[in-house]
Amino acid sequence: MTIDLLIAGRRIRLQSAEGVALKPDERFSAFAVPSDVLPFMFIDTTPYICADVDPGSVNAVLPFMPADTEPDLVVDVEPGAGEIPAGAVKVFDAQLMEEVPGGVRNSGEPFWEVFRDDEAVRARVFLKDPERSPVLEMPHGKMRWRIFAGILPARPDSGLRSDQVLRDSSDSKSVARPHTRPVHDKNTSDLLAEYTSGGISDITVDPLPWPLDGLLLYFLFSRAGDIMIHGSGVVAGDRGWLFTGRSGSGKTTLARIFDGAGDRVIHDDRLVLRREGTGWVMHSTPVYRNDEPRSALLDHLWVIRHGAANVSEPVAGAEAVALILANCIQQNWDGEAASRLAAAAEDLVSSVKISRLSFVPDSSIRDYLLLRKAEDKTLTADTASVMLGEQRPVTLTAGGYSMWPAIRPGDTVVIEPGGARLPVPGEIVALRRDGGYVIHRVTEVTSGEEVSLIHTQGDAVILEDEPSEAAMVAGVVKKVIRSGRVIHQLRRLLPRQINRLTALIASALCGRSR
Amino acid sequence: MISLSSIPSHSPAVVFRRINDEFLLIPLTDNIADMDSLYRLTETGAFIWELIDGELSVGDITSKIVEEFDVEKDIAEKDALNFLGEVQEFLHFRSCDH
Repeated sequence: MTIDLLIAGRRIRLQSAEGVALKPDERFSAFAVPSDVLPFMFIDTTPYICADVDPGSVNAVLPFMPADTEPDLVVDVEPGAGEIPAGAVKVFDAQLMEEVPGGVRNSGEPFWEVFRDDEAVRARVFLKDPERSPVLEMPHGKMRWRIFAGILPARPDSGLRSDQVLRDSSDSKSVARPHTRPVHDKNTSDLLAEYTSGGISDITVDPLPWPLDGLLLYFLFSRAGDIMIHGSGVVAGDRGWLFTGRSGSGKTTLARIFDGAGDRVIHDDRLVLRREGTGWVMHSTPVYRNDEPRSALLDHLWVIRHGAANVSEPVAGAEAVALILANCIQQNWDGEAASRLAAAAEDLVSSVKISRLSFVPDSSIRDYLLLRKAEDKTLTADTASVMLGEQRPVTLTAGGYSMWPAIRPGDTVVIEPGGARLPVPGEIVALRRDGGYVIHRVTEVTSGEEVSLIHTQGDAVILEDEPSEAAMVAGVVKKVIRSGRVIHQLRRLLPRQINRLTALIASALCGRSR
Repeated sequence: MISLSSIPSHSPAVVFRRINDEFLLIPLTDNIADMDSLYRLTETGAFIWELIDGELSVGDITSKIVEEFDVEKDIAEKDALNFLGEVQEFLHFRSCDH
């Protein structure tokens, strides 16, 4: 029997010998594709967002290309117990991590382990059913692997019917139990012979019980140079955004917020990121029963945490790579795999915007992120310019710490038209810059014969801004609204160094208050 | 005890990656509980790391720091020993033969 799964654009062929039927869990249903039908169409990643892959159908509106019908990986599924050779070295030991309030806890219970010898890498998992310890065998350099489903031989008196599915009772989020029995060393042919001799002609096997499915996908994608990452991927305002972070950081919350606003959620738990053409694409993977293949070009990746205000701060270079690595699914026992992952993360950082994001868990975060995007920012700035030109005040939400403590992230800043007069030192002005506004304090005004220059600086910034021509001043900030309270006194009371220090502390505390 | 006559070499239990002018050390581990550690190296740390070849002693490395960064020898020695002490779990040391 043969079943082809197309997951994150990679074709995995599961096959079994005669007499062994394969029945993957329901969560793989939407990922199964015909193995003998040539024109399965995989939607290309252009234009900006690729449509969801709908197995068996073609969206004629978007450009498409035929997917390769040759599998990326062939897996022979055998019902028996796999053997870990005596000479194999255990290279990785994963205990079951339990979700607890505020994060995860290592339960200390065995979950899965990895062995290596000269021939292959083998992963053994511990299911809720202690009778079964499936083994995934991956010969070095080959893309033909084996899964031993770890099923004990059934006897006629065991009550096992010929059509019964041998499936572990765990679902994708349940707790595994420690393995309490030794691994059986009977080979598949012996087992099949026993089944046959026992009068059972057919056996149905779940080839990818959790967590074996995740391990197989990890090894497949890791070897291909892809990135598996915990996160929530959404498409908002025609852009693909990914939010990653530790357990409890708010990934699922963000997915719900965007889903509630009608945006498309690619996945809210585990995604695969892959370099495709000039960009990176995020793909869903089967985790839950109603999952389906979804993909989108990745525009921005945020490393998230709960905070007291919505604040996005770009990161780059080694810091960005380290943040991504810290949230990837990885097994750092293998130096080659670790190097490959670091290289992939570096490439990702070079072409996708990476930021830290503190956020308030309500719909304001979606509005905040949409407003930050260039097109929307330009639109807002244009609208604001028109209103100020009409001598009408406008309000904007502050997003940074550069004017701390006079203006804080989340404050509503009221900008009033400045009219024809030049601002004076001490006043806070809104300067048109990069399609948006920079709100800083005037330190000096120099009047020349042709132009007047406005010198500005943030209250919590050590360096002065580049001087601006007076025409760049959009308006003057006379008051801010904080938690419903109007504040008119916006003087700088302390030296910038102290403001800078307290701003850094406030920023850190904001990040810790999750 | 690391001394100026010690000769460090890299342990295979770590991956070093240069990202533009920054550097990451990614420790390899055999347990999921120990996978949170990543190290970002300073410019001096990366300079030292890249000099480690199993041949140069700490004293040799110190001399190169003095040349590269134009610092006093005692400061270079202190920096080198401090850094090597911080990352010694990713290094092997042998004594200088001479």
